[in-house]
Amino acid sequence: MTRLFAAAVLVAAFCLPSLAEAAATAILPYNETVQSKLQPQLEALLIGLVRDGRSLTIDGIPVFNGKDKFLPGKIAISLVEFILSLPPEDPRQ
Amino acid sequence: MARLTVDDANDTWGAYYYILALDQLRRVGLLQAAVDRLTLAKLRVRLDWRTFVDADDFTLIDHPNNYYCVALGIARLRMRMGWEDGAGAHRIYDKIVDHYRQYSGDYGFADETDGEGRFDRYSVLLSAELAHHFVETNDRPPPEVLVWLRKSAEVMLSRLHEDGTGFEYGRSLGPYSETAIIEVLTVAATLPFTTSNFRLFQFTQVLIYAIALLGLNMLTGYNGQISLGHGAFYAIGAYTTAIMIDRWNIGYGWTLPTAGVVCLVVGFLFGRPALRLEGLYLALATFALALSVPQILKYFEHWTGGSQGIVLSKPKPPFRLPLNEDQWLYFLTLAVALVLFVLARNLLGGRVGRAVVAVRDNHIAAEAMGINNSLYKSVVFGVSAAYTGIAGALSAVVIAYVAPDSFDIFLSITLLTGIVIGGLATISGAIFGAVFIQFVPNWAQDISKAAPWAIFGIFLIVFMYVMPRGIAGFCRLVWIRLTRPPVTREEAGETRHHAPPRRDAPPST
Repeated sequence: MTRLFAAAVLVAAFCLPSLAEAAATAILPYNETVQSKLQPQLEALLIGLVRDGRSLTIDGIPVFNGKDKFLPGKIAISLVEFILSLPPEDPRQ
Repeated sequence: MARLTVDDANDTWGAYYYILALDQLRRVGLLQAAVDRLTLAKLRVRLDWRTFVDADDFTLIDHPNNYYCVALGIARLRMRMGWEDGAGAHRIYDKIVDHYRQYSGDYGFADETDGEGRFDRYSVLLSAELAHHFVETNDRPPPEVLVWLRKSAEVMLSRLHEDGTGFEYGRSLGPYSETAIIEVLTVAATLPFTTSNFRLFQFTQVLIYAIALLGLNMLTGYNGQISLGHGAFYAIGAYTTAIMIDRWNIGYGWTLPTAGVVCLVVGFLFGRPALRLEGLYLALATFALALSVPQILKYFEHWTGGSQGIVLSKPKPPFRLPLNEDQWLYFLTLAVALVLFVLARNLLGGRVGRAVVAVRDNHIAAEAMGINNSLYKSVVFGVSAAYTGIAGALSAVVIAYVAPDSFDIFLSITLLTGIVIGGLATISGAIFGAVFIQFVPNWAQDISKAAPWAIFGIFLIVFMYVMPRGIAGFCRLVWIRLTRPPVTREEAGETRHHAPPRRDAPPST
């Protein structure tokens, strides 16, 4: 019985890393949420900004209304994030 | 696009985001193409921490404490961009550290004011932002930042569901609070004290507990000496490793046997005077040991880091093995556990083991048989402490952090619970017990957030009721029932009439 138990423990012990990895990958990775939800929204906003410039509105409200004192920084970091997420061969880069 | 907004208001956080974007463009060689020279010159003037920090005395201008961190981020990025030297960043960092030391007390969470006691999400978040500003500029955060970050990460981790399905709250905390949790854990995950594979970490912890339980089982299960203080040996092993690595830069491989030897000596020396004590009195003496060691560790602050503890780095796999750090530590722990289990089996299965058990069962008879009771008791105490010390040393390497509060009396009680549930005086019981003490508290918390320890208590009672000899004893019983050949009616009748005397039956007179 002792040998059987020891064998079972050893087999389980050596299989654990791969089992644990499989369990971890079963949960939807957070970056998938970012890629599937956040990035398309970001792209749409940036395309709107390029198209409309300072007259851009979101839901009828002007974006450049002077109320957001961090806005230039937000636009810059979003734009760079978008550019760097493009594949190297993409002409938009 | 830069020209479109260059003349707009862009304060503090906006300036930080902007210069971070410019630095990212610079890194990939796109800065010149993306921003013209005139606009870049304007940005160099506008994206400056001096717009909200007094350049003479480095006090914040009309902003709460957390804005020092924004200033630090801008100053370090300006340094990376070649727009200024590192003097400003150093002065700002010093201001942050001074503020932490002066107003954060033992807990290490930042006060938003100068000691008025305004603690909000930034109090926990600030350590992550600080660490992040070092990481984003390819630098390693200073040790004190890692200590603060660890505390923040512990607060955040305790709020999460282990299966990755969100926070413990039934409703949204609001975007700022939820992103604060994500930010702390993201930064913590990039630094060497959290694990990328939590399940694997848990199994590594099971192996570590199994080693410690095996040590305690030698003492309590095989030799009958009750110890409520093995958490102290666990702590001594952990601190031996942490001090050797952190203070003397000794490789972790050398620290494991050293921790074992240190605990062997301490255990043997503690075992000598404890020879005079038995049963509950010995339990009380070891209980005192468990209570005093965390206090002693706090006292020798120069060596142990006081209540802040010592932060270590997780070791990289050697020989370019295709494993990540957590996998390597798992296999290392598995190898150490295998060696120690085989050693324990050989020790306890032979002459020494029989002597150890004889001392437990009847020490007068054992003495009459020529067994040196006091020597065996002291040596078992030492070997038991050595096993527990090696477990503590492995724990320090795996968790990459030691602090006195991690080794309180509760750890000793948990270890004792583990050997009773696993099965006293069994080798395999250490593994069952380790699985129990690692996972059952988590399951109890899943069942009831309000009273997890009540649920844990119910688990304990049920286990003890169903398996009074522990899980190992229960498995042995089931195995015997399953493998015993069926008894025929004739044999049963014969047995009734000619039953041989039972082995444990008293001799007939």
